[in-house]
Amino acid sequence: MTDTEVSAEVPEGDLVRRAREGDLTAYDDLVKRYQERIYATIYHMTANHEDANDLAQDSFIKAFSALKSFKGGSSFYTWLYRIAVNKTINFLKQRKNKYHLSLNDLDFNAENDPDLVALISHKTPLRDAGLSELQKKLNEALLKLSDSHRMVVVLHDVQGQSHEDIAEIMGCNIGTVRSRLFYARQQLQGYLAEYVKSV
Amino acid sequence: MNESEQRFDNLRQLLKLKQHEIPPPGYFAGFSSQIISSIKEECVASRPAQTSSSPSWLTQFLSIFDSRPGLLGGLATSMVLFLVLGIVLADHSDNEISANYATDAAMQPSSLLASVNVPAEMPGNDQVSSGGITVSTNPVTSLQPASSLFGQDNSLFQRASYVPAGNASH
Repeated sequence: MTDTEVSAEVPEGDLVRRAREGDLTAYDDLVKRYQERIYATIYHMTANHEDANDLAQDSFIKAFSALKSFKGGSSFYTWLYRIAVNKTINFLKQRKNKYHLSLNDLDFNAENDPDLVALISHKTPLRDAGLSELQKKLNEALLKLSDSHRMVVVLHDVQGQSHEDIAEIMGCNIGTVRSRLFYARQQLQGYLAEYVKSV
Repeated sequence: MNESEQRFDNLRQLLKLKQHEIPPPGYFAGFSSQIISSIKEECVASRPAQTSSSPSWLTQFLSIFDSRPGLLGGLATSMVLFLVLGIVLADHSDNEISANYATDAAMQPSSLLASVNVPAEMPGNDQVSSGGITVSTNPVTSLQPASSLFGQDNSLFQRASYVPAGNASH
């Protein structure tokens, strides 16, 4: 069951209003609606399953306690993302460079993804490298980026968020998002040169 | 697609691998219920404390900073600036007071002279002469003799005149 399938018929605004009044059933629906996306964002930032689990739970709990301050100026989804992103960045600052990769498994569809099949079928180092090895290299390269640059890449290239949404989530302007994205991609291309260049 | 996007096309394809990283099976089955039970526990734990010490307006005020930590930094900076400004102003006014005091002390002899020269009845003068004693609101110059101790016109002192007994007839 995906998060978007949960209570899709109930408008988000109604759920938020009821949750603000202390209705935990409504908040449960909101959690189910966004849990996978919030977890994934944090996971891609930390590259650690346990940390992502703890931070995602903390973010939802914090969001509930701060729900009364939510004025509805932005969507609940963006507001929730902002809390999760700030929590994650604070966590990463405290953790500094003590990374411990505990990567989630790749799903079965990874081997059938046309983009990935195209990459592997070429005569490149990717052909010899297994997907799990590639996954490890990719995560290591991502962790070399600064937190804010990694966040932009994760939100845009992995999660498919728009520049506008990212700007709102990260509290900066669109120009900053674009320049961070460009710089981060440049850096990543350098780190993964042997896999990307010859494709 | 613009040139920048095309330039990073291969990288974006590679990054798609991240979309296939999934948590262990059944991971989200109990996720929301864990969160809800944590919230319930927090509510129960914070209820007695909230009624006794933490007012709701304070909780609401602090919760504003959860989604906007930048505001907290701004508030802290402005408070520090306010404190520094207060210290600077207090220090400045202290210096001014001590400077005024030093000026008063330096002016002391001349003020004595001034009290001699200026008639007590002169309008605008805040010193009032009373039986040769100058009464003033100025704490430093108050109760000073109107003229010097050895002046001729000081009525507090009378010149002693001693005439020996033998010379009384002269």
